[in-house]
Amino acid sequence: MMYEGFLFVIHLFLHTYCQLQVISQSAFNLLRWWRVSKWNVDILMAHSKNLGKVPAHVSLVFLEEGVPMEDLVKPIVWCICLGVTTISLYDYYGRLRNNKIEIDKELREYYTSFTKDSKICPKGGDLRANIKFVSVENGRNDIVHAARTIASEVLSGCTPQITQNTVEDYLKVFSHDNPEMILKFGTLHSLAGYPPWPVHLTEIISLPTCHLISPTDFLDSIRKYNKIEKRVGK
Amino acid sequence: MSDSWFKRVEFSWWQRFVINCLLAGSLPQHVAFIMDGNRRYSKINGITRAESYLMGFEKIGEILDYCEVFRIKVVSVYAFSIENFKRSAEEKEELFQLFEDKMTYLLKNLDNLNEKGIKIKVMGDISLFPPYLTKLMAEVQLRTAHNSDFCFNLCLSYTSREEITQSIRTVVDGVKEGSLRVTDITESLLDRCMYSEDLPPVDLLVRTSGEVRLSDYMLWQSNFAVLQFVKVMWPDFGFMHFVSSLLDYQRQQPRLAEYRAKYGDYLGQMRDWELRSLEERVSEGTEQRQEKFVVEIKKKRREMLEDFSKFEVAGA
Repeated sequence: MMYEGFLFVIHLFLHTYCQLQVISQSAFNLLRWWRVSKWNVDILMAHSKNLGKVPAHVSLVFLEEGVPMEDLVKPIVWCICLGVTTISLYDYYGRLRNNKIEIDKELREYYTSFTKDSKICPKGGDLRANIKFVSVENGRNDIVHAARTIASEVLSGCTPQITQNTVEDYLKVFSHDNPEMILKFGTLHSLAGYPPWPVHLTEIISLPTCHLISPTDFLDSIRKYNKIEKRVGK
Repeated sequence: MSDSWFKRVEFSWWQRFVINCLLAGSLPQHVAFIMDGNRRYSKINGITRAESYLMGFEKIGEILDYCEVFRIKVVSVYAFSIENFKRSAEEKEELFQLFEDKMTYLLKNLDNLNEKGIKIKVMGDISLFPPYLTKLMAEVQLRTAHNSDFCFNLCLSYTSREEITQSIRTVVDGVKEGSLRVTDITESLLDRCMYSEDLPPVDLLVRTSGEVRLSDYMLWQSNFAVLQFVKVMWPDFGFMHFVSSLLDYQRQQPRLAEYRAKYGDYLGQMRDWELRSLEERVSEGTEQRQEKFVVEIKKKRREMLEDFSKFEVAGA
C-alpha cells in the first residue's frame, strides 16, 4: 500500500512535468510564430539553410487526438515545400484516410496560393508529392496477405524463390518504398501498430505534439535526421 | 573469463525501495535490448574494442539480475546482426571469441540454469557462424529447452526481415506439401513460425547510444512495444536508466493496452469477414491444421539443432 502511494506520486510528478513541457512548447510557438501566412511557409523557407539532405520519403505518424485539421496539414505542406516526394500519413484508426477529402482541399488551397506567390516555391519546384494513407490495417496484415499471395502462386505452378525482395514485391502499401524518416507526433513512445516491414532502418524522430507546431521544430527534426550516422551494421 | 551472468547483484537500501515501488505497478513481461554503443564507448574511454565488448557482455549479466527482481519473464538481446558479418575479420574474431567463451560458460553452468528454470534461446540463422560456434549454440538450447521460468533470448546472426521471410517460406512450404491451405495462413500462424515461436510479444524495447532506429530488430514482435531510445552507451547503462525505462513503460502501457485490445477486435472482424466472403468454411479444420503444422515445425527445428550439436569440430 505504501509503495503504491509512492509510485503514484512519482507518476503524478512525471505526468505533470511532461504535460508542462508540451504546454510550454505550444505556448512558445504560439507567441513566437504568430502567423503571417496560413502555413508559415515563408518562415520555413527563411530558416531552411544548412538543412542537409531532405529524405525522399517521410512518414508522419499521428498518435494524438483532437488536433485541428490546419495543424495536421502543416507538416504535409512543409514536406512538399522541402521537396519530399513521398509522404505517408499514419494514424491507428485510419481517421486521416476518412478525412482525405478535407486534407486534399487544404492542399489544393496551398497549391493555389503557391502559384500566386513565388516566395513559397518548394525546393525542386515540383508541387506534387505522392501521399499515402496508412493505418493499422496495413501493418502485419499486409505481410499475411503477401504470404497468402505467394502461397497461391506456388499452388498454381509458379515457383518463386522466396527472398526478402519477393516479400517486398507483394506488399500492398510499402512495396520497395520504405520511409527514411518517421516524424512521430504525440507523447506515446511507440509505433503503435505501424507496418513493421518498411521501418527496418527508418530514423524515428519524435515531437510531443502537432498542435501549434512551428516550422523551426519541423526543420530541427530534419537536421536531427541528418546528424544521425547511418552505419548499417558496419 | 568472468562468470558474472546469473549471479545475484547486491542492492542498496534505496535501490530496494525503488524496486518495491515499481513492483506495485504493471511491469513488462518481455524486454528487448539493442546493446548499441560498445565501439564508441571504447573510443570515448580509451580502452580497446575487445575490452569494451567484454564489458558489454558483462553488462548483460547485471541487466538479467535487474530483470529477475522486476519479475520480467523474457529478455532478448541483439548480440549480432546478419549485417555485422560485413565487419572486419579482426572484429568478427573478437566477437566470436566472446560468443564461444559465453556459450562454454553457459554449458558449464547448466545445473545453475536448470535449477533456476532458465531457458536459453538463440534466435537467428546460426548456420552462418563457424561450425564450432553453431555446435555450442545448438547444445546450449537443447540442454535448457525444457525450462520455462525465465527465457534469455540471444539474437545472433539475426535480422527481423530474414526472420519474417523464413516464417513465410515455412508456411508456403506447408501449403505446397498439403499440410496447410492458403486460408490457414493467418497472423497467429506466421507469429508461431517466427524464431520467437511461442514467446510473448515484446512489451518494452530499449536501445542505447542515442540512435533512434530499430535496425531490423524484432520488428514483428515489437509492433506495440514501448520504445525507449536512451542516450548512454551500452556499457554505461545502469540501474537508474533501467528504472527510468520501466517508469516510462508504466506511463505508456495503458494507452498501448487499449490499442492492443482494439487490435484483437480488428483481427476478429477480419476473420468474420473472411468467413463471410469465402465459400469454403475457413474455420473448419483451420485450427487443427495450424496446430499440427506448428508441432511438426518445432520437431524439425529440434532435429536441426540436434544435427548441429553433432558437428565434428577439430580439437573438440
